[in-house]
Amino acid sequence: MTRIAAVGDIHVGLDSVGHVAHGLEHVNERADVLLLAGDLTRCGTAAEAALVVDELAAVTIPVVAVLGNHDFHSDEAGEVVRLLAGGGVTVLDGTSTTVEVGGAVVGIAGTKGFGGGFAGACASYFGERAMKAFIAETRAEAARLHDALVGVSAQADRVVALLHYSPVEATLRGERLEIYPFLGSHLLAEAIDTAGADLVVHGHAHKGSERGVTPGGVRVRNVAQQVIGHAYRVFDLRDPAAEDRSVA
Amino acid sequence: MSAGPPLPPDYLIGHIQDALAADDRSRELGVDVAVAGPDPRVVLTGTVSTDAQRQAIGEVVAEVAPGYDVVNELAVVSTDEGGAVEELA
Repeated sequence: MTRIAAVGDIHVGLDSVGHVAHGLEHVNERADVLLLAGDLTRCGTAAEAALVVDELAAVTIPVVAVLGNHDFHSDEAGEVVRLLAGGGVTVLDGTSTTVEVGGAVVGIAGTKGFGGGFAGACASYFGERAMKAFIAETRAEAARLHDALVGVSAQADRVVALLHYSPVEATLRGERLEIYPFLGSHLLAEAIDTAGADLVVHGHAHKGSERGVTPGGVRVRNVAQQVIGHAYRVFDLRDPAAEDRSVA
Repeated sequence: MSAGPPLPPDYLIGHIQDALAADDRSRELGVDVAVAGPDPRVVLTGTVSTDAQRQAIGEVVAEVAPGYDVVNELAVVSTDEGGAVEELA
């Protein structure tokens, strides 16, 4: 089994000293890897990123993250990534990584994602440059997620997609319908269903719902801290093949 | 533009949400803002990261909406580690 701890939207600000660390006191015993689903910072400043690293100092299990929209706000995302990486956090951006736990390899493919809405009520690549740029960003994120998933699948027993934006509407339930196009896109789900994955975790939708599924049947979990009501959620991702081997 | 009657509350809600996103003290998009009557008051609901941010958001709103009572019903996110483990076969 592989125990995956996941949380999104911790929104570390300069007033957060000790707040996140307190919630992670026992994560090393409770999980094998910690996923951070974007919005690690409140304003995306280097100072906040340095504080995130301080808050994670006692976490000894691998930490894998994607950035969220807040992490881009101050146009310091490059420095934010550099500081997080220096602190031992693997930051995915249309890329993947693997974690070995008890002989099983878990592949994690991650990217921020973007909005656009969902099939039947979504924006199109049409009209003004700004609108086309909006959808082009989502298309590019979906394509990079697809390629990262395909790439890591060959090396992994189980595969997790890590996003900030949502690939499905189900985990947005509770948010106002009017803002769904700013919370996610079905293009992300299509990429996941085409490439294959065992689990998707995302954040961003603070008033959304925890559980959903892609049209292709992949489980989706909204782990925004405001939704889960805890420091993080733990998923026990069992490997059927490994369990078959243990029975034999 | 000449001064007219007070703006309808719909615009005030928009101005408050803009201020909450822009002000360094708040930087928050996840606050629900409602303007309720008959006495003018602004009601804030949602979940934020720290108690300091909760307080700061109340201050920002009071500055943007002078003359309104601010009812700060914001909650602070839980960092309790006791959540159930979900088994995924």
